[in-house]
Amino acid sequence: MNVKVDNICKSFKDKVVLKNTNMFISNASFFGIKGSSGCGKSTLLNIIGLLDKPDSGNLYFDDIAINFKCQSKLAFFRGNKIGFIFQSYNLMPKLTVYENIMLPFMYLDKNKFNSSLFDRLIEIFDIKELLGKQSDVLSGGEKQRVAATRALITSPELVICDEPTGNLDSNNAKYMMELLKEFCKFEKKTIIMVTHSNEYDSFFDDIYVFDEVK
Amino acid sequence: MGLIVKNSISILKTHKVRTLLTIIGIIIGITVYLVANVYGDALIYYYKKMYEGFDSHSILINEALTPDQVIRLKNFYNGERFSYFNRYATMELHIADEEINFTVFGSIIGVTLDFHNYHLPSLDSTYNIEKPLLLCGRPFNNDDLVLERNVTIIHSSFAKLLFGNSNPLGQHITIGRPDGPLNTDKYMIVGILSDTPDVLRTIDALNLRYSDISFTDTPTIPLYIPRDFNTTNIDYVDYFDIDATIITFRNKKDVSLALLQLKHVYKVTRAYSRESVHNELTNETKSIVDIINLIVLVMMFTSGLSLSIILIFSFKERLPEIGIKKALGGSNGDILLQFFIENIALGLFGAICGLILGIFLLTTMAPFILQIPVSSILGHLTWDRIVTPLLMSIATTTAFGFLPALWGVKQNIVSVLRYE
Repeated sequence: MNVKVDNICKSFKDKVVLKNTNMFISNASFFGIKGSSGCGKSTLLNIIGLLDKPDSGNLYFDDIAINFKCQSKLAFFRGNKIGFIFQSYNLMPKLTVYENIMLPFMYLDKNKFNSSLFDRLIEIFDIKELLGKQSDVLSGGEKQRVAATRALITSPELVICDEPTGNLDSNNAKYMMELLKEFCKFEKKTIIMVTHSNEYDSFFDDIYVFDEVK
Repeated sequence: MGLIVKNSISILKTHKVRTLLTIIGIIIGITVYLVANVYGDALIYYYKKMYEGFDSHSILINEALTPDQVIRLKNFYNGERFSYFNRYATMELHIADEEINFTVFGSIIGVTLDFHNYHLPSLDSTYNIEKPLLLCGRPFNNDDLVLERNVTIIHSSFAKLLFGNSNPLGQHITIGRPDGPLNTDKYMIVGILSDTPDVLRTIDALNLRYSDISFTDTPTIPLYIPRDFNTTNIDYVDYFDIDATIITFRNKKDVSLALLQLKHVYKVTRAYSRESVHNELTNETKSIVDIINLIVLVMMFTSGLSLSIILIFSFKERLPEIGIKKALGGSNGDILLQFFIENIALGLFGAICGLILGIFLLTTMAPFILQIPVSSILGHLTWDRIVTPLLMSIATTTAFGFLPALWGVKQNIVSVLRYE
């Protein structure tokens, strides 16, 4: 899925965070968004992920404009087309790893569950042994791998990653980047990742660097 | 839906304290509701059965003493032993011309402590007087009251015990206890009444005979006759009886008319037909049950309110969960549905526990209160008595859980995802 950001503006109270931001992210690319803290990269990511709405401007998925007013359609889009990997994992602590991975199917057509994809993701992220464990006993790296599995299990067209390596040590972070890159390459999915590190630039097909808006 | 239900249950398990507190409130409410209502129904039925033997054409009169009568009674006994007396006075009746006159006097049979005359005008040929009939002598009259004569009327069995075959009319008796007379006043017997079942039962139970009645038999002996009894040396009679007059009418409609007259014209406070006895007991029971239901309602409201408060507080910790679910594609409706299911599960589980506890109490403890058989109590455990609390419980939890849930889902996703 290609994504087009067209003149998007966003302010919080008096602070302008995004001002006429434009970008195009082509289908099946691993796209990096970089910038210093507070530059608005997470805000942009939230808008692309339909978690937040812009003050003005348009967002296009495969050249179709997104209507931010219809909450139920946005929810449908988030569930069916977008996968999220957050820096803080956002797993449900009292649910098991398996239950966390299956959470998206609470809102999706059960036929969309692909058992072979499930098996492959379990293998790629090496979490088979963790399936029965409660997620709050996992390490940071394990949590992030579970979060990634949950994001990808619905086979989303677009994967939004908000600094997924931020809480990981360098080995785990690199491993995560490799896995995402592999997923992007073989599954032909678009991945947009926000990061403030230059360490992983080589993984990205394209990078957008934010100029801080004053 | 299956996943949502499963998820709801696991979330309820996760928030144990909130779940437990709410469920305890519901359990208490539902248990009290069930026990009060089913037991109330059983009690009403029990009363109905109890008065079935009482002819539907009859009036039962049990007049409460007026304050004035109480004072007269107290004075009569010089303040002693008044506690032995039931607060009801005996009501006797006699026939005068074409009217029925009710004479109320103190609870010592035949002693004219005080009396009031009531009458039912011209219901001649519509009634039968069942008890007690004036067998001989005369009834009390206004002169007895005005002149405060020491006159008395006694039952025929007592007359026979006391005077044998001699004519009791004109004889004198004294009122007292086995340990001595209460005062020295002598009362002249002016009339003899037919025996009431109570009198006959008393005599039969004590197996009273002229020769073997002991002065010190027992303080509960209602009738005392000294050992050296002879017909010319009567010391005193002690008789405590709660008596009631029953008048049976040939037409049922006359019962209502008589009741109306007694209650409203003569302000007799305790005059009953079978229906009115039953109705009064039923209404009293219903009133108690209504009060209990009101308390239950307040309890359920409080329980619901605390659920709301707990939910509002726990929502802060549940905001990330809401955010995650929204990010994973859950719409506001989906999230609300989840909370709805959680609250239904809470209400349902609490209600089921409450019902089980209620049935347990009804089958174990309630029968001992009024000796009502378990089967009779459970016979009143109807579907509506089960479905109503179930619905009440679910309505409480869903109604009180809705606003906090709505507040939760209206939160901005980005901000709630940052709660973790």
